[in-house]
Amino acid sequence: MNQIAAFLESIAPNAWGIQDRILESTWETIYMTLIAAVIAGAIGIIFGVILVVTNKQGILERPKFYNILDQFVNTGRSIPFIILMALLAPFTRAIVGTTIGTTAAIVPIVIGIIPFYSRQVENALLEVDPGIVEAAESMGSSPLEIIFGVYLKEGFPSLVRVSAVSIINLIGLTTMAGVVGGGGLGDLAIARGYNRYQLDVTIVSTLIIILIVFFTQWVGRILIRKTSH
Amino acid sequence: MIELNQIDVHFESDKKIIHAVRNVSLTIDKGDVFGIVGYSGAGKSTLVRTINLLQRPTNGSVRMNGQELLDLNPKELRTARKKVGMIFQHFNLMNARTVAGNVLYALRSSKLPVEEKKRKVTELLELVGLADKQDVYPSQLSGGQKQRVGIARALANDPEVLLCDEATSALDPKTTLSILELVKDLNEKLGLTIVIITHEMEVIKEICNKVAVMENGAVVEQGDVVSIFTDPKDPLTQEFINTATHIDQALAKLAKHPSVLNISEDDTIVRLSFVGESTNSPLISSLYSKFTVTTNILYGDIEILHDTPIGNLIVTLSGTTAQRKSAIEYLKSQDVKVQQLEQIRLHDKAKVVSINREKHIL
Repeated sequence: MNQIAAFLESIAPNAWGIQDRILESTWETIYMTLIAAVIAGAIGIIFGVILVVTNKQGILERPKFYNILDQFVNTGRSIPFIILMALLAPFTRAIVGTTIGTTAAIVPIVIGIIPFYSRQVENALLEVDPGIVEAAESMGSSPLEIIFGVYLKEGFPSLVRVSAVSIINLIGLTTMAGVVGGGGLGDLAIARGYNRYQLDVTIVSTLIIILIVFFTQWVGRILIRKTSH
Repeated sequence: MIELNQIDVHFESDKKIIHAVRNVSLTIDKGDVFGIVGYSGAGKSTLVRTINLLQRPTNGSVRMNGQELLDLNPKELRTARKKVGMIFQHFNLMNARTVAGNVLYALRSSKLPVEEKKRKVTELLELVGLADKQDVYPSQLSGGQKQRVGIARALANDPEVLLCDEATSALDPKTTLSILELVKDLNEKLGLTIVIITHEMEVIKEICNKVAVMENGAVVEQGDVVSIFTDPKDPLTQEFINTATHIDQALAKLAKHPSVLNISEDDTIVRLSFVGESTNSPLISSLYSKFTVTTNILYGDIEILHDTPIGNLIVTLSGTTAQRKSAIEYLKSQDVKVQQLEQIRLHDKAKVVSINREKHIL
């Protein structure tokens, strides 16, 4: 045990010295990712479903409404995240009372990922065979029954796939949270590793992020396997 | 039971208006097995979707049991749809649900208690012969089995009508027959009214009692199956029937046959069609005994449609012009339709072989 510790200390002396800080940063990243995923996930699924059902040939076809939401999603996706954080500062203050800190960073992360995730959800649900939707309509299913009983149920494996992709994207956004004092592994890698020439800290931060990404993909794959028939 | 009155369906695409259905009026009675036949793009599927308003007609009225469906609000329409089952070419089963789950889905808004629903699902799956597949997912079923699940699902809410949209087109001939038999059974046992969309006249022949032929969105001919099969008026109907009765293939083969190629001045090739009783009388031998006209049968086919035998023969009649003329008169007096074949189109339709030198003997 001691030998391993000594070895780690020898190859990553700076990182070894700030173990508490690394744990804290990891937790901050996980915290931002989880909270943002839950909030943006719920809103993104709602938007994605609305996009699918109001689109042409959708079960609640409303072309004008679709166009507005579609444009909103497109515009949202075209704003670079680092600018979005600055743009949203007043909004963030209105919601969490401050523009600085981990919780405050969640607001722009949520807003930043919603357009991306909505589009992903839309595409995932468009993979559901329109014939199955038509069959449900022929059985007298209501729009809500079709959304929950057909789109979300039949599209579940695709939803899991795009959700895993979106969470990985989301982790990418959390690394920029340092700009507004949000902390996290991205901040650690830049503020410590890069600015203080402590390359080993940057490498350790990267490895932890890779582990979180792999874990997300692994969970996604298991869920897809269990729900695909 | 179902009355479609002057149905028009237009689609707009890129400023062009496509007339998918033009001024179609159909009446389907209770207990009918009503076939709608036509090539792809004829508007059959669009037309059948107006019956349960999956497709709203641009003009016209859709009545079911006297109720105008176009007047219903969405909720009432959903209730009405439960009384119209539908099955599809590609089955459209839910992959995320088991066989039982698929049937159960159709019952989700029914007020039956859960136990009752489960019992009903089991009954329906027994009815279609899939009692042992309850917990299997659709991906593990064959095409025929999938369509059986589709049928069980369509019957879940005790419908009065079953719409079949090319329900057998993705199946092999043997499976097609078994599905048609099941549908026929449902018609007889449950008194279910059935509407079948197909491009295969074979399907119509097998189970329908009435048929409408569609082309370019319009119905070109409709009537009961026996009269359409024996006396088709529209060229398209004739084409479908010739394919279904294999006359086309027979003619193509005959075109290469020596007896056709070596036809003499005293021979004429005719097609004889007859219905019902005349199949029983010894026509061919009377032709010789009465008129000394010899008959050489080149092709023969007898179909039984709803217990009515329908015969088609292609024969060479040999004798003098006068003899043949009186023989043909005699055949006509016996209710046999006689049609002189002037030419035979080969299968690739590029070559036309003339087979009768003497024209208009009839």
